[in-house]
Amino acid sequence: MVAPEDPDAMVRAAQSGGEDAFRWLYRRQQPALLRYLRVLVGDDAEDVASEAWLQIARDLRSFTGDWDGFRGWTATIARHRAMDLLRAQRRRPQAHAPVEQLVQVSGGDDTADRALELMTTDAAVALIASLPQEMAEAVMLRVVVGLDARSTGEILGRQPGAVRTAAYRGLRQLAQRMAQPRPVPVTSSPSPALKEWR
Amino acid sequence: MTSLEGGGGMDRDDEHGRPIVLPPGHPLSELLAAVTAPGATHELAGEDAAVAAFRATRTRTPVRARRGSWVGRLLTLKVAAAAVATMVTVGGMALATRTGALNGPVAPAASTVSVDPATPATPAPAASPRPGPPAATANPRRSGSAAPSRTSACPSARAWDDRRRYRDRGKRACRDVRPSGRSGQHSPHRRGAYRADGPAPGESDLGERAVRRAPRPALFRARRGTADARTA
Repeated sequence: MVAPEDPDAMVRAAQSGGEDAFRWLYRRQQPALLRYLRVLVGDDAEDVASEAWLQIARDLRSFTGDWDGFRGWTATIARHRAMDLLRAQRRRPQAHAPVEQLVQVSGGDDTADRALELMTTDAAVALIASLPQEMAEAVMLRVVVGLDARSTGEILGRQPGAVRTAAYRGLRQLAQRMAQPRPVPVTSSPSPALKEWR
Repeated sequence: MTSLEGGGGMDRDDEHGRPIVLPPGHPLSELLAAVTAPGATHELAGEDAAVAAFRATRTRTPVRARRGSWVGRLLTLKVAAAAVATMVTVGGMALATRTGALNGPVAPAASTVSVDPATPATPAPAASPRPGPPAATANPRRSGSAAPSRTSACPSARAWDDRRRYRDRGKRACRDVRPSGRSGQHSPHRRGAYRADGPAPGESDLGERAVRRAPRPALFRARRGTADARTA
């Protein structure tokens, strides 16, 4: 997975029309965007990601920045498209997998260590999606997309300090849940990731 | 046992965008490894569609962009030129009217009177703002310079008088503009010719002065003024 290519050079090459460079950018960035979108829109993540990449392909020439900027830019586009979908559907997003199901998948009747070994990407995303909105988004953008606190704050419209705090609290909650050997005593209704968003 | 602040594993106060790093064995390390795993095949299913969109925009964009920018640039240039011309004309006239500068540096028949805007503020009582031509007596207010001693006695009264004087001058300047539209000849050297076949005797030299001074915008007037000052 360690690419010998320079990501910044790849961004420049794609901007000048390099198709292979664009393909490389897609392969590097699409998984993170898709997982982030799963937290936002659940099963519609694939469709929203496709729309986002159409816009990315169209506007890449006007983008200015390096690989870090590209990641933040694409995450911004993906989030806007997700908000468009939610606005059109007039609904609030929900985590696509309840936490009980996640725990069953990951833990079963075994120990916590065994559960961690079995954790899949989907289960991990679902667990993060069960956090409150600001925590889930902060964790996804900081950890998965790999943005710094400032860029994450720009995307979410929050101060970097607030982003750090949200990510920290989200990870702490996740750690607490992961540490429990038995299924987490949560309520039956899954907590939507964008509970506060309207 | 799993508190994040315990081991200091997570860099909570990351200021420089470093990735969040957890120590080995941290309860979250497995979760974060799973969530940051390389993309699976089904996650990259839209790659060809995205590349196709990229290819389509690459072949289509340049022509459209260049045409749009060319037209836009031309339009912007025209609008900007029109705006500048309007501002110069209107603003220049307004400024000249306000400051009374339209009177110009050309000395009229009574050459002892300076028309430099700074001069009337000096306490020379004999320097009426404008030389009184014969027909100017038709305006009783302008012949008010006949009482110079009153205005020079009190400084504040004199300042008030100066203000009124400038205001009157501005009015006169505005009026001067009007008759000038017919003739673009305003060189002081042609003054004699105007005398010969110019205004009717009853008009006095007021109209003549107007023809002589008015029609140039302030932008050009300033330059002409300095030239005239040199030649004079």
